[in-house]
Amino acid sequence: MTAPNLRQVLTHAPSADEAYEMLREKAKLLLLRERELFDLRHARDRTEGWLKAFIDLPPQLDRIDQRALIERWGAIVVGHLGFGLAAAIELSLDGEVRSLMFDPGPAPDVRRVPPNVTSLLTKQQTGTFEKGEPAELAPFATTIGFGQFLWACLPIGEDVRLLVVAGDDPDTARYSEIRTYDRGHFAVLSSHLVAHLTSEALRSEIEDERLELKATNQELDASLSRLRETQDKLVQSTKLLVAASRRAGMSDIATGALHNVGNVLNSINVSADLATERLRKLRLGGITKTTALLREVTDGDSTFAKDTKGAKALAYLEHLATHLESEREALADEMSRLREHLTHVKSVISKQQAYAIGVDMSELCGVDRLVDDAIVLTRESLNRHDIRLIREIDSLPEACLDRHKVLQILINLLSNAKQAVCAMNPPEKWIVVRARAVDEAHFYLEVRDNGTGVRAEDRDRLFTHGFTTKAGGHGFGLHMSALTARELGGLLELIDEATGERGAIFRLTLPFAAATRQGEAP
Amino acid sequence: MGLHVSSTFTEQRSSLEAGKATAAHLKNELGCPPKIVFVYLTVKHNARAFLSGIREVLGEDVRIAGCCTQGVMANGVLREEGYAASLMALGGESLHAATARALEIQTDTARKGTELGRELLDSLGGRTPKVAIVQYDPLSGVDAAVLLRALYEVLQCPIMGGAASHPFGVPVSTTQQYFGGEVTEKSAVVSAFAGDFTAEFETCTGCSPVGVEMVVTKARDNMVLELDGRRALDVWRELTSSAPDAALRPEDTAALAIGVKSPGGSHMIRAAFLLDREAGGFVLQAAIPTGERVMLFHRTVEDVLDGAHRLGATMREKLHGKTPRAALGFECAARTLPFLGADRSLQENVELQRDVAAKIPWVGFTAWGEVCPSADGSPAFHNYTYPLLVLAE
Repeated sequence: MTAPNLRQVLTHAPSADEAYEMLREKAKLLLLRERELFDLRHARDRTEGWLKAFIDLPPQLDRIDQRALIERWGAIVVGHLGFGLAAAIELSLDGEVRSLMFDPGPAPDVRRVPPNVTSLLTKQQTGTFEKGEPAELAPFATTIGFGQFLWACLPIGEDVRLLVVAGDDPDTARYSEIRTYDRGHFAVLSSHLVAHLTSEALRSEIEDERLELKATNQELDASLSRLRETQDKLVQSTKLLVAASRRAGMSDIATGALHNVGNVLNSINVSADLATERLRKLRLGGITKTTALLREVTDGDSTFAKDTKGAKALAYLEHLATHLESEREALADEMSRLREHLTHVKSVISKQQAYAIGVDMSELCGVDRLVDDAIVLTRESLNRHDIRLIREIDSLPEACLDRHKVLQILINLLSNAKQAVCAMNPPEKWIVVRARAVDEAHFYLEVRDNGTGVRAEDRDRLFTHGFTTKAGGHGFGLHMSALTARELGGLLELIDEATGERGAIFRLTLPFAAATRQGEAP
Repeated sequence: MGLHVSSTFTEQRSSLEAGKATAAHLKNELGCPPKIVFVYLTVKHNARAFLSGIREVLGEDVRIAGCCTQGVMANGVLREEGYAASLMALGGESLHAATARALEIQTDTARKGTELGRELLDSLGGRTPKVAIVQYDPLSGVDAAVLLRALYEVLQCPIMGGAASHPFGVPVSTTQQYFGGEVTEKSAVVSAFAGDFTAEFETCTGCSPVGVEMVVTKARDNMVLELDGRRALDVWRELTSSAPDAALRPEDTAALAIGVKSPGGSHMIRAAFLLDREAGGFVLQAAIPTGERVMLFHRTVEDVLDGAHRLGATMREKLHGKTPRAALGFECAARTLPFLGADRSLQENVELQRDVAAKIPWVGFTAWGEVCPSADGSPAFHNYTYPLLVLAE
């Protein structure tokens, strides 16, 4: 298009010069508007760029690690905001460089930031380095390869700062200018980054703790499961134990019963023998001889023979003799059968005794604990009677034994001791419980009291079945205790000591190792 | 198909790796050894590393021509910030290519232009070039018109291209031109092509005359010292409403569009390139001689976009009956980011690509001074212009 020269055209204007001047003013206005538009557009585009960076920075994913977030920031700063270089340096307060990110890479080998630089960065928090100012940053700028840059140094942990830098290297720095609004936008974007890092750190921490908690919960669940399994097993074991105990108890009872029955059976056997012997010795032959003699005497012409009553009496006697003889024979036969039955019963009992095998409940246990358990069970009873219990327990190795049975014996002995002391009722009533080693293989538990003691005449039958000195006693206690001691491979005895004091000493000697057969006491 | 073309674009930030990656892409897509590779990089890139990467893949002897720029163009892309690179490789049996470079072009400009032309002709083996493409350093102080005239006198073919550039709105610094593996300043790199293809070109400006005319009453080389008898800088300040003692901002240089009548009657638009406070004048890339009348122009967004649409339509008409193979654009950097803004600049180019020939390889850069043939075929220097070259078969 060929532009007219308006000076020539505007001939009808009031004044061509005025018109021309107006045109110049309009042209100036146009140019001014054009410049203003340029300035506004440039500022708007730049601000939009920063705003977009602000919006694009947060991670889209729920979880993104800190390194990736910083790299994202770098990519935005260089890729979208047009800076030539971006760097993020994790610093401790003493200037140690913990990590580096440079975009584009690679990162220079920077291990430490000088103290004066660290101090400036930490105090000021944001700033600019351009045209070599501030001078303190110049060497640092050279080290990290920047010619000019915006920077922000913000805390991301207690003693950790993140220094973020955006700018250009010395070669390309001349092609860019740091604008005033860039400074503000950069500071905001940096704060935005740090806020995300901090929240990401917190989120990571929370997530780590959550995972830890989850793992702990899983462990607890597993433990709970195992506990339940163990509990179930324990219940099963308890049931088995109860059953076994019951069987053992039953076995004990059966054994005891069998033993007692056996004892009674012996008595019956003896009585049967005695009865058979007495039956056999029954003097029925005398009657027969007497009746035979009377017959001889009364045969013929005797008054006794002529007397009807006499004849009948004689006949009666003869019948009686025959009948008694016959009865004796029958009773002898019966006794014989009775003895056979008794023998059979005894045989059955013997067999049952053989079958009534006690369950081996041996376990390793401390002798001192065993004694203490017995004391605990009897302490209240002793305290009620003001009986002082003295404990003399040596340091002994653990013994493998049926704890329950030993406890039974000890409790029995303590009970007897208590009764004896109460019966004696001395001014000071005491019972001593002692545990000592006999040798490497054996130890003894002793119950000593200052009670009534044991009469000399009772000593031999003290452990026999049914013997008792107590009114209402059944005489099983010491007997069963002695039997039990034997089962355990030990020995229960009354210790005869010439102490000059009244009272009794009962000693239970046992092996440390479980007995394999009875009667192993030294 | 005798003319092979491939192009690529990358925003990869590692210059060496980007060079390798783009070269590999070009090599794979071209289907034959490249006769020349055009490389346009934003200033963030380490150009030497980038070129090194290219040569590592394509060979040390590969012809490379290009320059640094404010922004690069590619298919569907116009990127004027950060790290950006646009490349095009040309090859094929129907293409003969030559590349030459002149250093310190601001001195002995005419002679160097002539030597450039001769070197190119020699490399082409006497073949008549169909088109030449130039990239030069506008900050060397060279009078582009002198260089182009000398070049044209030898080559006698359309010359297109542009001046290297760097980001707008910062103090002018230096620009670089690429020749093989070398990166230089104050130089001009010219490529000439001969072969069995056609070169179609068209341009648009997007400027409208204001109606205010002035006379260059004093000029020295390519510096205008006086307008209508007054210090040129004072006139400039007045027209741009700048206070007399206000700091001269770099972006202000593009504020004034000065139209110079071309032999064909239309105006060639010039922009002040440098403002010289001491001399009281402003520097143009092509001289306006003393006594020349100049018209004040201004730009509007509508004019710029309409101009681009007309450019596309006109080019399409020219390509009727031909198969376009490659497009090279050299849009004025004052039109794009500083004027249209990023979004509209992209829109302008995307629509232009669609209008001309969608999907053909496209490369280009935003220039500080554009070169395209005038009506008589001789190269003319422009500002605020968008010259477009399409190679077709």
